[in-house]
This record gives sequence, structure tokens and C-alpha cells, in this order.
Amino acid sequence: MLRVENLTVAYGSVQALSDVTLEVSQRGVLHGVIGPNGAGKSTLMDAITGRRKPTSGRVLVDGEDITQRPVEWRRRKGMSRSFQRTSIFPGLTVREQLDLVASQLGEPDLDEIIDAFELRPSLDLPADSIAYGDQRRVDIALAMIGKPSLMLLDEPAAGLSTTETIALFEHLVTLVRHRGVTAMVVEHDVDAVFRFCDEVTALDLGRLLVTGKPAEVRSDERVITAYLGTAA
Amino acid sequence: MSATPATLGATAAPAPAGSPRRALWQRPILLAGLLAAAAGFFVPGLIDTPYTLSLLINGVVLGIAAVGIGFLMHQCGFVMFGVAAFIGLPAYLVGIGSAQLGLGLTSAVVFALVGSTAFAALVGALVVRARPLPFAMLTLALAQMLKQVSMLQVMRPITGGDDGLTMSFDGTFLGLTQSALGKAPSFWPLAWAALCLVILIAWVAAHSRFGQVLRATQANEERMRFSGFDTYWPRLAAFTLSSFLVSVSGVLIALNSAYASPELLDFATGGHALTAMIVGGGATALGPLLGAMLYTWGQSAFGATGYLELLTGIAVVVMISAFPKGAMGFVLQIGHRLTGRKGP
Repeated sequence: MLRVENLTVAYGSVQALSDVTLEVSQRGVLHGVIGPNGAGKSTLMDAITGRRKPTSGRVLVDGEDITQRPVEWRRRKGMSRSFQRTSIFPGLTVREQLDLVASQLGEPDLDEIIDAFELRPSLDLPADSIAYGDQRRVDIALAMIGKPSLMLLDEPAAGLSTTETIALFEHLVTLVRHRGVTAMVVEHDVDAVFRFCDEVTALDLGRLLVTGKPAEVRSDERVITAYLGTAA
Repeated sequence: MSATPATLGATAAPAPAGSPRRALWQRPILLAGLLAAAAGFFVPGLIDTPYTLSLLINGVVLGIAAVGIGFLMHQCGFVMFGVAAFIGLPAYLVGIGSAQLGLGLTSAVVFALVGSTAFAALVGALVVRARPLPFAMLTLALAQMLKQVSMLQVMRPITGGDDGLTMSFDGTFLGLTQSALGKAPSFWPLAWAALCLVILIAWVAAHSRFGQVLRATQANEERMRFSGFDTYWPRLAAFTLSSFLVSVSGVLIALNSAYASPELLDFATGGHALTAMIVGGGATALGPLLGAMLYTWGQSAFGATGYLELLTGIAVVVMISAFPKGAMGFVLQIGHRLTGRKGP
């Protein structure tokens, strides 16, 4: 499915991501990515989706090297993403932006997405006038359109309450299972990640610490140290 | 798909979801526009002085250029400082086609439009990659380069150098001889028809999916790319279309005056069109035309006082301050209040 090989992203002398190798081989799974601030989570997402060119390394999807491919090509081939800061079309209603993207990528089940993300009440409202939580759902709904095979969601629960976060992850799990989508989720809310994700990868200071089942990652010494520090 | 462009600033209000397509007589604005377009051809019969008709023609020609750059600004957020390039270049090409290439008048007009548009596509391939401010300056540099080229000694046999290019046409254009094209009453129908066509093209493009893609790209280009849209080619197409529309004004200038000069390529020429577009408002297809008419009338009235630049500057500042959405924006606001409709 997705394979990242020796990925390095450097900003001058700062290595935001250092020699990361990671594989998500199964379809229909929710793969969480966690790490403290500055761990390189968003940089990893940017490098995979093409928003940022890696300094070295490769990104492969189903065996094809897509490292040099432009963003729009990746999207049309089934790799979508949502953004840490909500990225919608100001001035367009919710319906108009869903329709716009659906017209480009094709989406026979747009109503299912609308209902799954509870967007029907706000369909005819300008998207930049609706509540922040609703905007987050629009952002993610846009990433769902076109039946992507791989979705990368950058802190989808940012700014949401605990209740909203749980509801969001439940939506995601339902859609991932139902549509057979592989979703990689970067999240600060580690409780939600360990509760809902099938696999978890932990990063720290640009390096991959561990990847595996939630319970394994949760009890890994390196992860505990990265989040809590060493005992005095 | 129910997408409508209205909330991104197009002039048409969205049809209610699920409503049937309305007949022409049920669309008052469209009907009024068609009637006004038809009535425009009879204007010479209503104008008693040649000077007034010439002023109207100047306003129409300026309006065509303003509609062209207004389209680009509203759809893409790009301002073409170098709009004079696509006024002066086609004007020169009409003359060059006639004199150097021995083309008949109609062929020379086609040559000018195709040549200017092709040049726009070529240049646009580079400049539309730039951000808005560098884009504006690049187009300005382009116009200045063309002006300098037109004045080179080596170009004198082709462009006339500093003296400009006096033209002599062979044949007719749409049945009009050079003599007829130089007279206001016989030139007016051509100018008016060209204006109606330019406005129609701009309106159709703005209200199409093409226009929607452009405006969505302007709103959030990164999201568009992450939604699978290529944003470069539509922007290039918009620049090329805009330049083509502006080129129509350059061709009309050449046909009417049978003369092209380096002054046509100067920033000041483009500045008139830019000012007209801003005064009238670029959010609608008719705004730039209204701005051009106001601007042309103002230039004539202020010129008579001897304080042209001063009064023009004051008037422009007052207009932009009082009507931030342009004169047409203000008119539409009044209209929406009177009809109780929600404005853009």
C-alpha cells in the first residue's frame, strides 16, 4: 500500500525528518502517527503527500515511486489529505465545494459522505460561516471524495472537544471499514489514537521510534521516555 | 451536481435547488441586457453631435479593454499592469499585416487578433506562474519592452519608430472601407457589436465551470491542487482569454484611427483601462464598461477645465473611497435593496 523509504526532510541544518522508513501494507486500516511537538509528524505527512519535497528518500504507493509526482497527480490517483489548519474554500457554500471536488474526482456516494459527517444542516451555508467543528468535518469530507485508497489526515481533531473527537474518530472508523480506505492520522490526542487506530507509529525529533499495535507502542520505553522524559 | 458560481461573486443569483430552468422572459436582467444590446445600435440616431458620438466610441473601446482586465482580476485575482501590451500590439499588427504582409483588411484583423493572442499564450506560460504582484510587474515590463522595440531604429521600416505607423488598408472589414471606419456614425455599430460580443464572452466564461475553477483557485489554490485540480492551465487560459478580449480594443483603435503609436504601448494607456475597471467595479461583466463611460466622460469634462490630471485624481479617489465595490457594485446594492434580494 504505502511505503516510505529512508525519508529525510531537512530545513537548512535542521533535520525535521531523519531517515524514516515506514510501511502501511494493509487496506482498510486506521494508522495513527504520534509524537511530541517537533517530532516531524506533519513533515512526514507533507513529504508523503507532496506538499514538501524530501531531501532524500522515496515514497512508494503500491510499489510505484511517486516521490517526484505533483500533488494533484497524487490526489487523482487516490491519495488525499486534510490539513492541520482547516483548508476549505471561503465564499463557497458547503454544498458547492463538495460538488466542485466531486465533479473533478467523481463521487457517486456524495450523500453518504454528507450524512456520515453530519453536514446536511449546513449544506447551503457559506463554509467560512459555520462552526469550527463543522469546518473540520468539511475539510475531512473533501478528503473522502473520489474514493481515495489512502487518506492522510493531519490532526483532524485539533480544536475539538473530547466528545467531538470521539464522534469524529467513530465516523472515520466507519468510513475506513466501509470503504476499504487506508487512513493515516496524525494526532496529538494519543488516547483517541490508541483507542481507535489499528496500528500506531511513534516519532520523536524526526526519527521513527517504533511502529506496531497500539498496546505495543503504548508500552514501549522509548515512547514513554519521549512523552514523559526519563525518571529523575 | 448543483454547483453555482454566485457565491464567488458572479453576477447571477443562484437558482433555488431543484428549480426548473427559467425561460428568457422570466429572466428580467438577461432580457434587459439583450434589449439594451439591440437598442445600442440605434444610438447614432439619438446623438446630435459628432463629438459626443466619438466620446461614446472612446468609452466603448476603453470599456472593452477594461472588461478584459476585469475578467482576469475577478476570476484570478491578477492585475495586468501591462495591459497596454495587448492594446498596442494588435494595433501595430493590423498595420503590419496590411503594409508588410499585404493582407486584405479582414485578414489583417484576424492576423492581429491571432498574433496578439498567441503572444499572450507564450508570455502567459511564464508569467502566470508568478504570484500576483510579480505578475503585475512582469506584464508591465513586457509592455515597456514592446514599446522600446517599436521605437528602435532598426524597427522603423516596420513600426514607423517614434513617429508611429500610419496605415492604409486594402479591402473592407465587414463591408466597411477605411473611410467608413474612420467616421463615427459608421464605426459605431462595429464598436458596439464588438463590445456586446466581448461582454458575452466574459460573462459566459465567468458563469461556466471554468470560471468556478478559477475563482476557487483564487480562494484556495492549495486545496484545489489537493482536490486533483491542475491550477496552472486554467490560469494560463484565463490570461490568454483576457488578453484576447483586450486585443479587440487595440484592433478597433487601429481600424478607427488607421494609426498606431508607441504611446499605445505606454503604461498610461493601460492605466486608463485599469482605472476604468476599478472605478466601475471588476466583479461584474458590466462594471468595467460603466467605469469606462464615466472615466471617458470625466476626461473630457476635466480636460476642458485645464486641470485634467488634478481633477481626474480627485475623482478617482472619491469614487473608490465612496464606492469600494465600484460604481456597478453600488448600483447593484441599490437594486438588491429595492427588490429585497440578498446581494453578493
